[in-house]
Amino acid sequence: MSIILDHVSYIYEKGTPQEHYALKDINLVIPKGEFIGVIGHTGSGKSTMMQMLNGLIAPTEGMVLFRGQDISDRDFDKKYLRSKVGMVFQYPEYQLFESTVFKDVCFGPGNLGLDQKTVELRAFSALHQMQFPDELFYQSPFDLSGGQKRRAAIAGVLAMDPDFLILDEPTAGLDPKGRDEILELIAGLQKEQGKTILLVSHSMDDVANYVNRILVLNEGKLVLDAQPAEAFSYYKELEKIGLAAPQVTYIMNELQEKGIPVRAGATTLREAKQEILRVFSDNRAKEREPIHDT
Amino acid sequence: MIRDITVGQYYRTESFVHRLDPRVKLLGTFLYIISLFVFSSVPGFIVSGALLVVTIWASKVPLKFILRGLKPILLLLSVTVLFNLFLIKGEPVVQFWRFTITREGIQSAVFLVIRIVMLIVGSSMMTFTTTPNQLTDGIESLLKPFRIVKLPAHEIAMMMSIALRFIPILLEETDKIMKAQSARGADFESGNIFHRAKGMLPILVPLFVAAFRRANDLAMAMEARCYRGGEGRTRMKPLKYQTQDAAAFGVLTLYVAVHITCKVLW
Ligand SMILES: Nc1ncnc2c1ncn2[C@@H]1O[C@H](COP(=O)(O)OP(=O)(O)OP(=O)(O)O)[C@@H](O)[C@H]1O
Ligand SMILES: [Mg+2]
Repeated sequence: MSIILDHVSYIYEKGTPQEHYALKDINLVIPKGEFIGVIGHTGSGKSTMMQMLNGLIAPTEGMVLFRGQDISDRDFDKKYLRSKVGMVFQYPEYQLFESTVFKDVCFGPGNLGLDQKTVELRAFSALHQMQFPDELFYQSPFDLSGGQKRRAAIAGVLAMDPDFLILDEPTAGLDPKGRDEILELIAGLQKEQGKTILLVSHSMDDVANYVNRILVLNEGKLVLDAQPAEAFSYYKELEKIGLAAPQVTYIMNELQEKGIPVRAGATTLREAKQEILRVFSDNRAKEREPIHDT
Repeated sequence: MIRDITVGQYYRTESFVHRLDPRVKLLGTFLYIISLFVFSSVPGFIVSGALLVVTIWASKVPLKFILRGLKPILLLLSVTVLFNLFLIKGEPVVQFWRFTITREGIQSAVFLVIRIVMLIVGSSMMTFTTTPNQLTDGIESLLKPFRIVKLPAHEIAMMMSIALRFIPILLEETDKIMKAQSARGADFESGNIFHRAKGMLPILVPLFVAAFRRANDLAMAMEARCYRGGEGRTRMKPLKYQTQDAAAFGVLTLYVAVHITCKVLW
Protein backbone atom coordinates (compact mmCIF):
# COMPACT_ATOMS: atom_id res chain seq x y z
CA MET A 1 0.00 0.00 0.00
CA SER A 2 2.14 2.83 -1.24
CA ILE A 3 2.18 5.51 -3.90
CA ILE A 4 4.87 5.22 -6.54
CA LEU A 5 5.84 7.86 -9.08
CA ASP A 6 7.68 6.36 -12.02
CA HIS A 7 9.45 8.80 -14.37
CA VAL A 8 6.62 11.30 -14.01
CA SER A 9 6.58 14.56 -15.98
CA TYR A 10 3.86 17.13 -16.33
CA ILE A 11 3.40 19.84 -18.95
CA TYR A 12 0.99 22.73 -18.47
CA GLU A 13 -0.91 24.15 -21.44
CA LYS A 14 0.39 21.56 -23.82
CA GLY A 15 0.00 22.59 -27.41
CA THR A 16 0.12 26.35 -26.82
CA PRO A 17 3.10 28.70 -26.93
CA GLN A 18 2.90 28.93 -23.13
CA GLU A 19 3.55 25.21 -22.77
CA HIS A 20 6.09 24.43 -20.07
CA TYR A 21 7.26 21.61 -17.83
CA ALA A 22 5.98 21.85 -14.26
CA LEU A 23 7.48 18.46 -13.31
CA LYS A 24 10.36 16.62 -14.90
CA ASP A 25 11.17 12.94 -14.51
CA ILE A 26 10.17 12.43 -10.89
CA ASN A 27 10.84 9.04 -9.28
CA LEU A 28 9.50 8.51 -5.82
CA VAL A 29 8.12 5.89 -3.45
CA ILE A 30 5.78 7.00 -0.67
CA PRO A 31 5.27 4.12 1.76
CA LYS A 32 2.67 4.08 4.48
CA GLY A 33 3.23 5.77 7.83
CA GLU A 34 5.78 8.42 6.90
CA PHE A 35 5.64 12.14 7.60
CA ILE A 36 7.09 13.75 4.52
CA GLY A 37 7.89 17.42 4.06
CA VAL A 38 7.89 18.89 0.55
CA ILE A 39 9.84 22.10 0.09
CA GLY A 40 10.77 24.16 -2.93
CA HIS A 41 10.87 27.70 -4.21
CA THR A 42 7.58 29.20 -5.36
CA GLY A 43 6.67 27.74 -8.76
CA SER A 44 8.88 24.68 -8.32
CA GLY A 45 5.99 22.29 -8.89
CA LYS A 46 4.97 21.27 -5.38
CA SER A 47 1.24 21.79 -5.82
CA THR A 48 1.36 20.12 -9.22
CA MET A 49 3.02 17.04 -7.78
CA MET A 50 0.53 16.87 -4.92
CA GLN A 51 -2.44 17.04 -7.30
CA MET A 52 -0.99 14.16 -9.23
CA LEU A 53 -0.93 11.90 -6.19
CA ASN A 54 -4.69 11.61 -6.01
CA GLY A 55 -5.40 11.65 -9.69
CA LEU A 56 -6.66 15.22 -10.06
CA ILE A 57 -4.26 15.63 -12.93
CA ALA A 58 -2.77 12.82 -14.97
CA PRO A 59 0.96 12.75 -15.73
CA THR A 60 1.92 13.78 -19.26
CA GLU A 61 4.71 11.21 -19.20
CA GLY A 62 5.36 8.34 -16.81
CA MET A 63 3.04 6.61 -14.36
CA VAL A 64 1.61 7.13 -10.92
CA LEU A 65 0.93 3.80 -9.20
CA PHE A 66 -1.36 3.25 -6.25
CA ARG A 67 -1.40 -0.24 -4.79
CA GLY A 68 0.48 -1.34 -7.87
CA GLN A 69 -2.17 -0.04 -10.26
CA ASP A 70 -1.69 2.77 -12.76
CA ILE A 71 -4.09 5.52 -11.73
CA SER A 72 -4.44 6.77 -15.31
CA ASP A 73 -5.94 3.43 -16.37
CA ARG A 74 -9.42 3.69 -17.70
CA ASP A 75 -10.84 1.13 -15.28
CA PHE A 76 -9.06 2.49 -12.23
CA ASP A 77 -11.51 3.54 -9.52
CA LYS A 78 -10.74 7.24 -8.98
CA LYS A 79 -13.29 7.60 -6.24
CA TYR A 80 -11.58 4.87 -4.24
CA LEU A 81 -8.23 6.58 -4.75
CA ARG A 82 -9.62 9.89 -3.52
CA SER A 83 -11.12 8.29 -0.44
CA LYS A 84 -7.69 6.87 0.39
CA VAL A 85 -5.58 9.87 -0.59
CA GLY A 86 -7.01 13.03 0.94
CA MET A 87 -5.95 16.41 -0.33
CA VAL A 88 -6.25 19.75 1.43
CA PHE A 89 -5.67 22.60 -0.99
CA GLN A 90 -3.59 25.71 -0.54
CA TYR A 91 -6.66 27.96 -0.19
CA PRO A 92 -9.60 26.50 1.73
CA GLU A 93 -12.11 29.05 0.44
CA TYR A 94 -12.20 27.08 -2.80
CA GLN A 95 -14.04 24.18 -1.25
CA LEU A 96 -16.48 25.55 1.35
CA PHE A 97 -19.97 25.88 -0.07
CA GLU A 98 -22.68 24.52 2.24
CA SER A 99 -24.95 26.54 4.50
CA THR A 100 -23.29 25.27 7.67
CA VAL A 101 -19.81 24.05 8.54
CA PHE A 102 -21.18 20.71 9.66
CA LYS A 103 -23.00 20.09 6.38
CA ASP A 104 -19.89 21.07 4.50
CA VAL A 105 -17.77 18.55 6.37
CA CYS A 106 -20.43 15.90 5.61
CA PHE A 107 -19.97 16.47 1.86
CA GLY A 108 -16.83 14.34 1.51
CA PRO A 109 -17.95 11.22 3.41
CA GLY A 110 -21.44 11.63 1.88
CA ASN A 111 -19.90 11.21 -1.56
CA LEU A 112 -18.45 7.86 -0.50
CA GLY A 113 -21.92 6.35 -0.33
CA LEU A 114 -21.97 5.79 3.43
CA ASP A 115 -25.24 5.93 5.36
CA GLN A 116 -26.31 9.22 6.94
CA LYS A 117 -25.43 8.17 10.48
CA THR A 118 -21.86 7.17 9.67
CA VAL A 119 -21.42 10.34 7.66
CA GLU A 120 -22.48 12.53 10.57
CA LEU A 121 -20.41 10.58 13.04
CA ARG A 122 -17.35 11.00 10.90
CA ALA A 123 -18.02 14.70 10.43
CA PHE A 124 -18.36 15.17 14.17
CA SER A 125 -15.19 13.31 14.99
CA ALA A 126 -13.22 15.08 12.24
CA LEU A 127 -14.30 18.50 13.50
CA HIS A 128 -13.44 17.45 17.05
CA GLN A 129 -10.07 16.16 15.97
CA MET A 130 -9.33 19.52 14.37
CA GLN A 131 -10.45 21.14 17.65
CA PHE A 132 -13.02 23.16 15.82
CA PRO A 133 -15.10 25.15 18.34
CA ASP A 134 -18.47 23.45 18.99
CA GLU A 135 -20.47 26.66 18.95
CA LEU A 136 -19.45 27.31 15.33
CA PHE A 137 -20.63 23.93 13.95
CA TYR A 138 -23.83 25.39 12.53
CA GLN A 139 -22.38 28.71 11.37
CA SER A 140 -22.06 29.54 7.72
CA PRO A 141 -18.54 28.59 6.62
CA PHE A 142 -18.23 31.99 4.95
CA ASP A 143 -18.50 33.79 8.28
CA LEU A 144 -15.44 32.07 9.75
CA SER A 145 -11.99 33.55 10.19
CA GLY A 146 -9.16 32.36 7.97
CA GLY A 147 -7.83 29.95 10.57
CA GLN A 148 -11.25 28.51 11.32
CA LYS A 149 -11.91 28.06 7.60
CA ARG A 150 -8.63 26.18 7.37
CA ARG A 151 -9.66 23.85 10.18
CA ALA A 152 -13.07 23.27 8.63
CA ALA A 153 -11.47 22.52 5.28
CA ILE A 154 -9.01 20.05 6.78
CA ALA A 155 -11.85 18.41 8.73
CA GLY A 156 -13.79 18.10 5.46
CA VAL A 157 -11.02 15.95 4.04
CA LEU A 158 -10.26 14.14 7.27
CA ALA A 159 -13.89 13.03 7.51
CA MET A 160 -13.26 10.82 4.49
CA ASP A 161 -10.74 8.93 6.64
CA PRO A 162 -7.91 8.78 4.09
CA ASP A 163 -4.75 6.73 4.63
CA PHE A 164 -2.65 9.37 2.92
CA LEU A 165 -3.21 13.00 3.78
CA ILE A 166 -1.73 15.71 1.59
CA LEU A 167 -1.67 19.24 2.95
CA ASP A 168 -0.65 22.09 0.69
CA GLU A 169 0.62 24.83 2.98
CA PRO A 170 -1.98 24.23 5.69
CA THR A 171 -0.49 26.87 7.99
CA ALA A 172 -0.10 29.80 5.60
CA GLY A 173 -1.58 32.91 7.15
CA LEU A 174 -2.05 31.48 10.64
CA ASP A 175 -0.73 32.92 13.89
CA PRO A 176 2.10 31.00 15.62
CA LYS A 177 -0.23 29.33 18.11
CA GLY A 178 -2.74 28.26 15.47
CA ARG A 179 0.12 27.01 13.33
CA ASP A 180 1.61 24.89 16.10
CA GLU A 181 -1.80 23.53 17.03
CA ILE A 182 -2.59 22.43 13.50
CA LEU A 183 0.84 20.88 13.01
CA GLU A 184 0.54 19.02 16.33
CA LEU A 185 -2.86 17.70 15.28
CA ILE A 186 -1.47 16.55 11.96
CA ALA A 187 1.52 14.91 13.62
CA GLY A 188 -0.92 13.13 15.94
CA LEU A 189 -2.72 11.66 12.92
CA GLN A 190 0.52 10.12 11.80
CA LYS A 191 1.65 8.84 15.21
CA GLU A 192 -1.66 7.53 16.51
CA GLN A 193 -3.48 6.44 13.38
CA GLY A 194 -0.51 5.59 11.18
CA LYS A 195 -1.60 7.93 8.40
CA THR A 196 0.95 9.00 5.85
CA ILE A 197 1.30 12.77 5.80
CA LEU A 198 2.68 14.91 2.99
CA LEU A 199 3.18 18.47 4.10
CA VAL A 200 4.01 21.25 1.66
CA SER A 201 5.50 24.14 3.57
CA HIS A 202 7.61 27.23 3.18
CA SER A 203 8.70 27.12 6.81
CA MET A 204 11.93 25.20 7.23
CA ASP A 205 11.48 25.23 11.00
CA ASP A 206 8.08 23.57 10.76
CA VAL A 207 9.41 20.98 8.36
CA ALA A 208 12.42 20.23 10.57
CA ASN A 209 10.27 19.94 13.68
CA TYR A 210 7.81 17.39 12.37
CA VAL A 211 8.83 15.40 9.32
CA ASN A 212 11.08 12.38 9.00
CA ARG A 213 11.79 12.77 5.30
CA ILE A 214 12.25 15.80 3.09
CA LEU A 215 11.65 16.15 -0.64
CA VAL A 216 13.22 19.17 -2.30
CA LEU A 217 11.86 20.34 -5.64
CA ASN A 218 13.60 22.81 -7.90
CA GLU A 219 12.23 23.87 -11.29
CA GLY A 220 10.15 20.72 -11.51
CA LYS A 221 12.94 18.34 -10.62
CA LEU A 222 13.30 16.31 -7.45
CA VAL A 223 16.77 17.39 -6.39
CA LEU A 224 16.94 15.89 -2.91
CA ASP A 225 15.17 13.14 -0.98
CA ALA A 226 16.67 12.67 2.48
CA GLN A 227 16.15 12.81 6.22
CA PRO A 228 16.04 16.31 7.71
CA ALA A 229 19.53 16.23 9.24
CA GLU A 230 21.10 15.22 5.97
CA ALA A 231 18.91 17.46 3.83
CA PHE A 232 19.69 20.59 5.83
CA SER A 233 23.40 19.84 5.91
CA TYR A 234 23.24 20.99 2.29
CA TYR A 235 22.03 24.39 3.40
CA LYS A 236 24.42 26.24 1.09
CA GLU A 237 22.97 24.43 -1.91
CA LEU A 238 19.45 24.96 -0.62
CA GLU A 239 20.09 28.68 -0.44
CA LYS A 240 21.06 28.70 -4.09
CA ILE A 241 17.59 27.44 -5.04
CA GLY A 242 15.74 29.97 -2.91
CA LEU A 243 15.43 27.87 0.25
CA ALA A 244 17.21 27.83 3.58
CA ALA A 245 17.82 25.67 6.63
CA PRO A 246 16.11 26.01 10.03
CA GLN A 247 17.48 28.82 12.20
CA VAL A 248 19.17 26.43 14.63
CA THR A 249 21.16 24.83 11.83
CA TYR A 250 22.75 28.21 11.16
CA ILE A 251 23.47 28.76 14.82
CA MET A 252 25.09 25.35 15.17
CA ASN A 253 27.21 25.90 12.08
CA GLU A 254 28.39 29.27 13.34
CA LEU A 255 29.24 27.79 16.74
CA GLN A 256 31.29 25.18 14.96
CA GLU A 257 33.11 27.85 12.94
CA LYS A 258 33.90 29.69 16.18
CA GLY A 259 35.73 26.58 17.32
CA ILE A 260 33.17 25.12 19.69
CA PRO A 261 33.14 21.36 19.06
CA VAL A 262 29.40 20.91 18.42
CA ARG A 263 28.16 18.56 15.73
CA ALA A 264 26.32 20.74 13.20
CA GLY A 265 23.60 18.25 12.32
CA ALA A 266 20.90 19.60 14.65
CA THR A 267 17.75 20.76 12.90
CA THR A 268 15.35 21.31 15.79
CA LEU A 269 15.59 23.35 18.95
CA ARG A 270 15.58 20.23 21.12
CA GLU A 271 18.44 18.56 19.26
CA ALA A 272 20.44 21.77 19.40
CA LYS A 273 19.88 22.10 23.12
CA GLN A 274 21.02 18.54 23.76
CA GLU A 275 24.09 18.99 21.61
CA ILE A 276 25.11 22.25 23.27
CA LEU A 277 24.56 20.80 26.76
CA ARG A 278 26.64 17.78 25.81
CA VAL A 279 29.54 19.98 24.74
CA PHE A 280 29.24 22.02 27.92
CA SER A 281 29.30 18.99 30.18
CA ASP A 282 32.24 17.55 28.24
CA ASN A 283 34.10 20.83 28.74
CA ARG A 284 33.36 20.88 32.42
CA ALA A 285 34.60 17.32 32.77
CA LYS A 286 37.80 18.29 30.99
CA GLU A 287 38.30 21.35 33.22
CA ARG A 288 37.99 19.17 36.28
CA GLU A 289 40.43 16.54 35.09
CA PRO A 290 43.72 18.46 35.67
CA ILE A 291 42.62 19.27 39.21
CA HIS A 292 42.20 15.57 39.93
CA ASP A 293 45.69 14.85 38.60
CA THR A 294 47.52 17.21 40.95
CA MET B 1 -12.76 21.21 -20.99
CA ILE B 2 -12.79 24.47 -19.03
CA ARG B 3 -9.47 25.38 -20.60
CA ASP B 4 -10.95 24.89 -24.08
CA ILE B 5 -12.88 28.14 -23.87
CA THR B 6 -10.68 30.55 -25.75
CA VAL B 7 -13.24 33.20 -26.71
CA GLY B 8 -12.27 36.53 -25.20
CA GLN B 9 -8.69 35.50 -24.53
CA TYR B 10 -5.58 37.29 -25.71
CA TYR B 11 -3.04 35.29 -27.68
CA ARG B 12 0.39 36.76 -27.08
CA THR B 13 2.57 36.97 -30.16
CA GLU B 14 4.11 39.52 -32.49
CA SER B 15 2.27 40.20 -35.76
CA PHE B 16 0.90 42.83 -38.09
CA VAL B 17 -2.61 42.45 -36.71
CA HIS B 18 -1.38 42.65 -33.12
CA ARG B 19 0.33 45.96 -33.84
CA LEU B 20 -2.74 47.59 -35.40
CA ASP B 21 -4.51 50.38 -33.57
CA PRO B 22 -7.37 48.91 -31.53
CA ARG B 23 -9.80 51.38 -33.11
CA VAL B 24 -9.06 49.94 -36.53
CA LYS B 25 -9.68 46.44 -35.25
CA LEU B 26 -12.90 47.43 -33.52
CA LEU B 27 -14.27 49.22 -36.56
CA GLY B 28 -13.08 46.41 -38.79
CA THR B 29 -14.83 43.79 -36.69
CA PHE B 30 -17.99 45.88 -36.61
CA LEU B 31 -17.92 46.27 -40.36
CA TYR B 32 -17.20 42.59 -40.83
CA ILE B 33 -20.15 41.50 -38.69
CA ILE B 34 -22.52 43.81 -40.54
CA SER B 35 -21.21 42.54 -43.86
CA LEU B 36 -21.95 38.94 -42.84
CA PHE B 37 -25.61 39.82 -42.51
CA VAL B 38 -25.95 42.25 -45.41
CA PHE B 39 -24.07 40.19 -47.99
CA SER B 40 -25.27 36.72 -47.11
CA SER B 41 -24.98 35.00 -50.44
CA VAL B 42 -22.42 32.55 -51.82
CA PRO B 43 -20.13 35.23 -53.31
CA GLY B 44 -20.61 37.36 -50.21
CA PHE B 45 -19.41 34.52 -47.99
CA ILE B 46 -16.43 33.91 -50.25
CA VAL B 47 -15.35 37.54 -49.94
CA SER B 48 -15.89 37.58 -46.15
CA GLY B 49 -14.11 34.24 -45.83
CA ALA B 50 -11.18 35.60 -47.80
CA LEU B 51 -10.78 38.55 -45.44
CA LEU B 52 -10.97 36.21 -42.47
CA VAL B 53 -8.33 33.88 -43.89
CA VAL B 54 -6.02 36.81 -44.64
CA THR B 55 -6.50 38.18 -41.12
CA ILE B 56 -5.81 34.81 -39.50
CA TRP B 57 -2.72 34.38 -41.62
CA ALA B 58 -1.46 37.88 -40.79
CA SER B 59 -2.15 37.46 -37.07
CA LYS B 60 0.02 34.34 -36.65
CA VAL B 61 -2.52 32.85 -34.25
CA PRO B 62 -2.45 29.07 -34.83
CA LEU B 63 -5.58 27.65 -36.47
CA LYS B 64 -5.76 24.93 -33.83
CA PHE B 65 -6.09 27.53 -31.10
CA ILE B 66 -8.84 29.35 -32.99
CA LEU B 67 -10.81 26.20 -33.70
CA ARG B 68 -10.64 25.15 -30.08
CA GLY B 69 -12.76 28.18 -29.27
CA LEU B 70 -15.54 26.79 -31.47
CA LYS B 71 -15.95 23.60 -29.47
CA PRO B 72 -18.26 25.05 -26.82
CA ILE B 73 -20.74 26.27 -29.46
CA LEU B 74 -20.97 22.92 -31.25
CA LEU B 75 -24.18 22.05 -29.45
CA LEU B 76 -25.80 25.36 -30.33
CA LEU B 77 -24.72 24.88 -33.93
CA SER B 78 -26.15 21.39 -34.24
CA VAL B 79 -29.48 22.43 -32.76
CA THR B 80 -29.85 25.32 -35.21
CA VAL B 81 -28.91 23.06 -38.09
CA LEU B 82 -31.55 20.48 -37.12
CA PHE B 83 -34.25 23.11 -36.75
CA ASN B 84 -33.44 24.63 -40.10
CA LEU B 85 -33.21 21.29 -41.88
CA PHE B 86 -36.56 19.97 -40.77
CA LEU B 87 -38.75 22.96 -40.16
CA ILE B 88 -38.32 25.09 -43.24
CA LYS B 89 -40.93 24.48 -45.91
CA GLY B 90 -40.16 24.32 -49.60
CA GLU B 91 -39.12 21.94 -52.30
CA PRO B 92 -38.59 18.47 -50.73
CA VAL B 93 -35.28 16.72 -51.31
CA VAL B 94 -35.28 13.81 -48.86
CA GLN B 95 -38.37 12.32 -47.27
CA PHE B 96 -38.58 9.66 -44.58
CA TRP B 97 -41.31 8.77 -42.07
CA ARG B 98 -42.69 12.16 -41.05
CA PHE B 99 -39.65 14.24 -41.85
CA THR B 100 -38.93 16.20 -44.96
CA ILE B 101 -35.71 17.92 -45.74
CA THR B 102 -36.17 20.73 -48.19
CA ARG B 103 -33.79 22.49 -50.51
CA GLU B 104 -34.47 25.75 -48.74
CA GLY B 105 -33.86 24.05 -45.40
CA ILE B 106 -30.45 22.79 -46.45
CA GLN B 107 -29.52 26.16 -47.86
CA SER B 108 -30.57 28.05 -44.77
CA ALA B 109 -28.81 25.56 -42.46
CA VAL B 110 -25.56 25.81 -44.38
CA PHE B 111 -25.76 29.60 -44.49
CA LEU B 112 -26.44 29.75 -40.78
CA VAL B 113 -23.50 27.56 -39.87
CA ILE B 114 -21.16 29.55 -42.06
CA ARG B 115 -22.45 32.80 -40.65
CA ILE B 116 -22.18 31.75 -36.99
CA VAL B 117 -18.73 30.24 -37.42
CA MET B 118 -17.42 33.29 -39.27
CA LEU B 119 -19.05 35.56 -36.73
CA ILE B 120 -17.42 33.85 -33.77
CA VAL B 121 -14.04 33.37 -35.39
CA GLY B 122 -14.08 36.93 -36.72
CA SER B 123 -14.89 38.55 -33.42
CA SER B 124 -12.50 36.35 -31.48
CA MET B 125 -9.75 37.40 -33.89
CA MET B 126 -10.11 40.84 -32.37
CA THR B 127 -9.74 39.65 -28.77
CA PHE B 128 -6.94 37.22 -29.70
CA THR B 129 -4.88 40.10 -31.05
CA THR B 130 -5.83 42.97 -28.73
CA THR B 131 -5.08 43.19 -25.04
CA PRO B 132 -8.00 44.16 -22.81
CA ASN B 133 -6.27 47.46 -22.08
CA GLN B 134 -6.00 48.37 -25.73
CA LEU B 135 -9.56 47.29 -26.28
CA THR B 136 -10.83 49.62 -23.57
CA ASP B 137 -8.85 52.52 -24.92
CA GLY B 138 -10.22 51.83 -28.37
CA ILE B 139 -13.83 51.56 -27.23
CA GLU B 140 -13.54 54.66 -25.15
CA SER B 141 -12.06 56.68 -27.94
CA LEU B 142 -14.69 55.49 -30.41
CA LEU B 143 -17.55 56.23 -28.02
CA LYS B 144 -16.31 59.72 -27.22
CA PRO B 145 -18.45 61.52 -29.81
CA PHE B 146 -21.54 60.09 -28.09
CA ARG B 147 -20.78 62.02 -24.95
CA ILE B 148 -23.02 64.74 -26.34
CA VAL B 149 -25.97 62.47 -25.62
CA LYS B 150 -24.63 61.82 -22.06
CA LEU B 151 -23.18 58.41 -22.87
CA PRO B 152 -20.66 57.47 -20.11
CA ALA B 153 -18.00 56.33 -22.57
CA HIS B 154 -15.23 55.83 -20.06
CA GLU B 155 -17.36 53.89 -17.62
CA ILE B 156 -18.71 51.59 -20.31
CA ALA B 157 -15.23 50.91 -21.60
CA MET B 158 -13.90 50.27 -18.10
CA MET B 159 -16.70 47.86 -17.29
CA MET B 160 -16.15 45.93 -20.48
CA SER B 161 -12.43 45.66 -19.97
CA ILE B 162 -12.84 44.47 -16.41
CA ALA B 163 -15.32 41.83 -17.53
CA LEU B 164 -12.93 40.65 -20.22
CA ARG B 165 -9.99 40.67 -17.87
CA PHE B 166 -11.87 38.47 -15.43
CA ILE B 167 -12.82 35.72 -17.86
CA PRO B 168 -9.52 33.83 -17.60
CA ILE B 169 -9.35 34.43 -13.84
CA LEU B 170 -12.80 32.98 -13.30
CA LEU B 171 -11.96 30.03 -15.52
CA GLU B 172 -8.86 29.36 -13.49
CA GLU B 173 -10.87 29.67 -10.31
CA THR B 174 -13.49 27.21 -11.60
CA ASP B 175 -10.70 24.79 -12.37
CA LYS B 176 -9.35 25.03 -8.83
CA ILE B 177 -12.77 24.64 -7.24
CA MET B 178 -13.58 21.62 -9.38
CA LYS B 179 -10.33 20.02 -8.29
CA ALA B 180 -10.94 20.76 -4.62
CA GLN B 181 -14.42 19.23 -4.80
CA SER B 182 -13.28 16.24 -6.86
CA ALA B 183 -10.72 15.61 -4.14
CA ARG B 184 -13.66 15.29 -1.76
CA GLY B 185 -15.26 12.70 -3.98
CA ALA B 186 -17.63 14.97 -5.92
CA ASP B 187 -18.76 13.55 -9.22
CA PHE B 188 -19.72 15.92 -12.02
CA GLU B 189 -20.09 13.44 -14.84
CA SER B 190 -22.56 10.72 -13.94
CA GLY B 191 -26.26 10.75 -13.06
CA ASN B 192 -29.30 12.27 -14.75
CA ILE B 193 -29.68 15.94 -15.53
CA PHE B 194 -31.17 16.89 -12.13
CA HIS B 195 -28.45 15.02 -10.35
CA ARG B 196 -25.84 16.82 -12.38
CA ALA B 197 -27.44 20.21 -11.87
CA LYS B 198 -27.33 19.62 -8.14
CA GLY B 199 -23.75 18.50 -8.49
CA MET B 200 -22.89 21.95 -9.86
CA LEU B 201 -23.82 23.61 -6.59
CA PRO B 202 -20.50 22.86 -4.85
CA ILE B 203 -18.79 24.63 -7.76
CA LEU B 204 -21.15 27.55 -8.24
CA VAL B 205 -21.34 28.67 -4.62
CA PRO B 206 -17.59 29.11 -4.07
CA LEU B 207 -17.30 30.59 -7.56
CA PHE B 208 -19.85 33.30 -6.84
CA VAL B 209 -18.40 33.97 -3.42
CA ALA B 210 -14.97 34.35 -5.00
CA ALA B 211 -16.31 36.58 -7.77
CA PHE B 212 -17.99 38.94 -5.33
CA ARG B 213 -14.93 39.03 -3.14
CA ARG B 214 -12.78 39.82 -6.14
CA ALA B 215 -15.11 42.56 -7.31
CA ASN B 216 -15.05 44.07 -3.85
CA ASP B 217 -11.27 43.90 -3.61
CA LEU B 218 -10.89 45.43 -7.05
CA ALA B 219 -13.23 48.31 -6.23
CA MET B 220 -11.31 48.90 -3.03
CA ALA B 221 -7.95 48.82 -4.79
CA MET B 222 -9.19 51.30 -7.40
CA GLU B 223 -10.48 53.63 -4.68
CA ALA B 224 -7.20 53.35 -2.84
CA ARG B 225 -5.44 54.62 -5.95
CA CYS B 226 -7.87 57.52 -6.24
CA TYR B 227 -9.76 56.31 -9.28
CA ARG B 228 -12.59 58.71 -10.00
CA GLY B 229 -13.72 58.03 -13.53
CA GLY B 230 -12.48 59.28 -16.87
CA GLU B 231 -12.73 63.05 -16.35
CA GLY B 232 -9.38 64.67 -17.10
CA ARG B 233 -7.53 61.37 -17.19
CA THR B 234 -4.46 61.19 -19.42
CA ARG B 235 -2.87 58.08 -20.87
CA MET B 236 0.49 56.47 -20.67
CA LYS B 237 0.13 55.19 -24.22
CA PRO B 238 -2.13 57.57 -26.17
CA LEU B 239 -3.65 56.07 -29.29
CA LYS B 240 -2.15 57.33 -32.55
CA TYR B 241 -2.83 56.10 -36.05
CA GLN B 242 0.25 54.77 -37.88
CA THR B 243 0.94 53.95 -41.51
CA GLN B 244 -0.04 50.34 -40.98
CA ASP B 245 -3.46 51.49 -39.78
CA ALA B 246 -3.91 53.40 -43.03
CA ALA B 247 -3.05 50.19 -44.87
CA ALA B 248 -5.63 48.30 -42.81
CA PHE B 249 -8.26 50.93 -43.56
CA GLY B 250 -7.36 50.51 -47.22
CA VAL B 251 -7.96 46.77 -46.99
CA LEU B 252 -11.32 47.36 -45.29
CA THR B 253 -12.42 49.83 -47.96
CA LEU B 254 -11.40 47.39 -50.65
CA TYR B 255 -13.34 44.68 -48.80
CA VAL B 256 -16.55 46.70 -48.80
CA ALA B 257 -16.01 47.72 -52.42
CA VAL B 258 -15.59 44.11 -53.54
CA HIS B 259 -18.68 43.12 -51.60
CA ILE B 260 -20.78 45.80 -53.28
CA THR B 261 -19.42 44.96 -56.72
CA CYS B 262 -20.28 41.30 -56.20
CA LYS B 263 -23.74 42.20 -55.04
CA VAL B 264 -24.34 44.40 -58.09
CA LEU B 265 -22.90 41.93 -60.60
CA TRP B 266 -24.77 38.84 -59.31
N1 LIG C 1 -3.15 25.94 -14.01
C1 LIG C 1 -1.93 26.22 -14.48
N2 LIG C 1 -1.75 26.55 -15.78
C2 LIG C 1 -0.54 26.83 -16.26
N3 LIG C 1 0.59 26.79 -15.55
C3 LIG C 1 0.50 26.48 -14.25
C4 LIG C 1 -0.77 26.18 -13.64
N4 LIG C 1 -0.56 25.89 -12.35
C5 LIG C 1 0.76 26.01 -12.15
N5 LIG C 1 1.40 26.36 -13.28
C6 LIG C 1 2.86 26.55 -13.45
O1 LIG C 1 3.51 25.35 -13.08
C7 LIG C 1 4.66 25.61 -12.31
C8 LIG C 1 4.55 24.91 -10.97
O2 LIG C 1 3.45 25.41 -10.25
P1 LIG C 1 3.03 24.90 -8.81
O3 LIG C 1 1.72 25.51 -8.50
O4 LIG C 1 3.09 23.42 -8.79
O5 LIG C 1 4.17 25.52 -7.90
P2 LIG C 1 4.34 25.48 -6.31
O6 LIG C 1 5.65 24.82 -6.08
O7 LIG C 1 3.15 24.89 -5.68
O8 LIG C 1 4.45 27.01 -5.94
P3 LIG C 1 3.94 27.80 -4.61
O9 LIG C 1 4.95 27.58 -3.56
O10 LIG C 1 3.93 29.23 -5.06
O11 LIG C 1 2.59 27.28 -4.27
C9 LIG C 1 4.74 27.13 -12.19
O12 LIG C 1 5.69 27.56 -13.14
C10 LIG C 1 3.38 27.63 -12.54
O13 LIG C 1 3.46 28.86 -13.19
MG1 LIG D 1 1.61 25.61 -4.42
